[in-house]
Amino acid sequence: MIDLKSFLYNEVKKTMDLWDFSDAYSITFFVYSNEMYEFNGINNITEFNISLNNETYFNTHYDEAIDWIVPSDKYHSIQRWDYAYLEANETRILNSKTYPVLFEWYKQNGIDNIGFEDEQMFEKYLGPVGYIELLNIIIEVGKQLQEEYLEKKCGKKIPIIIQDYEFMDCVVEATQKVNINNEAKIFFETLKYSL
Amino acid sequence: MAEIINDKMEHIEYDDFGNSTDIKEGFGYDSEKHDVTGNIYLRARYYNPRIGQFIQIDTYRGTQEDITSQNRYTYCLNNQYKYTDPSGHFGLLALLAGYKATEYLLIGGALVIGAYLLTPSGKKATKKGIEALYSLGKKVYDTVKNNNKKKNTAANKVATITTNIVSAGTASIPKPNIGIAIPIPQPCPEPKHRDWNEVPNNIMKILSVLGLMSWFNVLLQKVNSEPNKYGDSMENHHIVPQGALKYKGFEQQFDFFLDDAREVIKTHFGSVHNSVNMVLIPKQLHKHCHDRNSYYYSIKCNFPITEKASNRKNAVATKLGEYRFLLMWIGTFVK
Repeated sequence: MIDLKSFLYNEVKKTMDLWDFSDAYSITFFVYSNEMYEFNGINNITEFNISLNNETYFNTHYDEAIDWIVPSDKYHSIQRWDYAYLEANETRILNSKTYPVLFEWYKQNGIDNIGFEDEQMFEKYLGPVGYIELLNIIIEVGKQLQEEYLEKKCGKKIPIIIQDYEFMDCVVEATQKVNINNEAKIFFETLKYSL
Repeated sequence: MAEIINDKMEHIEYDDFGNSTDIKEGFGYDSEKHDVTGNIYLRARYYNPRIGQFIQIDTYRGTQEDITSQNRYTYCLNNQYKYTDPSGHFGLLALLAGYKATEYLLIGGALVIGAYLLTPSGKKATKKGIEALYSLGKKVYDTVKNNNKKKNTAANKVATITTNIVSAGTASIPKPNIGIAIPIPQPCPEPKHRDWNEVPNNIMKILSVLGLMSWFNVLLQKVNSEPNKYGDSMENHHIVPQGALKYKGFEQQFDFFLDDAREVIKTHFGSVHNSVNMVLIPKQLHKHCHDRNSYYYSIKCNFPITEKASNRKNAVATKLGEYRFLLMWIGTFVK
């Protein structure tokens, strides 16, 4: 049986081992599906990319004038947390080498019809078949990183923000679950008042 | 708005942007004059309350400090709750402009304070409260009054202000000698980016109609300067977003904005997830199409709940088509 959680944890950790966290303020887990994503003839699959957001990039690109709708301090600015403004120097955790493992895991767990999305699923923001299942594993990976790895590696608490282009219910809830020690406090304050 | 006519209380209802079916002609929203077409005359140009934007471009280019002021079609910096725009050039804080009948602010003070409020420093000053603004206004007024004891007629005052505003793009704004360092908004230079010269007229027209000038300007700079990290990767983009800021646990500031737009699309096309509402664009561009400010705001303005009317289907489809055409064209700029 494939242990997808351990597999993804190791893949993510392998990437993070190479990161310099000295200037970092958050980590983005971009989990998103689109009809145009395709693997082995299957469409609407989910991608999982990770990136590090650092203060230098933020301070260089932060523009106070953009925060005109909801005035805020820069730590609660949409530019600090909204994916549209992030550097998003992403590493693809799921790629041509790792997708076969994911699909094998889907198969072992009886999850078929990957990518199928009807109107009801769309309206409830559940994503296509395979999305929520993968997201749940990614939540576990994130929790394990917070418990065992990140604070030791960084020397400080750092939030993992799970994102797509929007802030769907399931994605926001995932971020709440991942940050077990309230690491994402400022993000949620921003989400509440500014985003 | 309510008034007593022939001993009867009459009222006119407006939506947030001054649109109303109750008024055909005459003075109404913000005490300004509506013409027969429904547009409102704001001296320098006409404002269309139906789309919440001016229908002519502003001669004033805005300020470098405030990117919103650089969109030369928006009304009141897209914040009509806070600002009013009696000059047709830029927004003044509504509370202050309410005193326009008095000499208190009209003699140049309003111009200086209005311009000041558009700057980041002005925003901070706003936070300090209305009292501070009155205090500043009084100082400006006293200074101007001392310097210019000549009593202007109302027409002269308006003409003076208009002249100052129009010349603000090239000349410095009169600076009162009141001992307070008021940052003078710096007029925007001519766009340097060569790509503006390459934008065809039909795209310019769409940008104008949809109120996306400032978003487009920022986007052009981004897609030209940042490396394309995604190669040829293309994604489906929902023009009216599927569920932007829909999180049920929070009182989202923008949720109700986009809920209206989503309802309009659902009314006419059954679902937001309809090909009419979708466009295929590069991933590099898609990211920037989820900008919480200008792009989402244009969606809110262009698909108001009034578009739910049964006879509006073609108009909604046309607007979606314009967005689609525009986004596909911008996609060609991604390297």
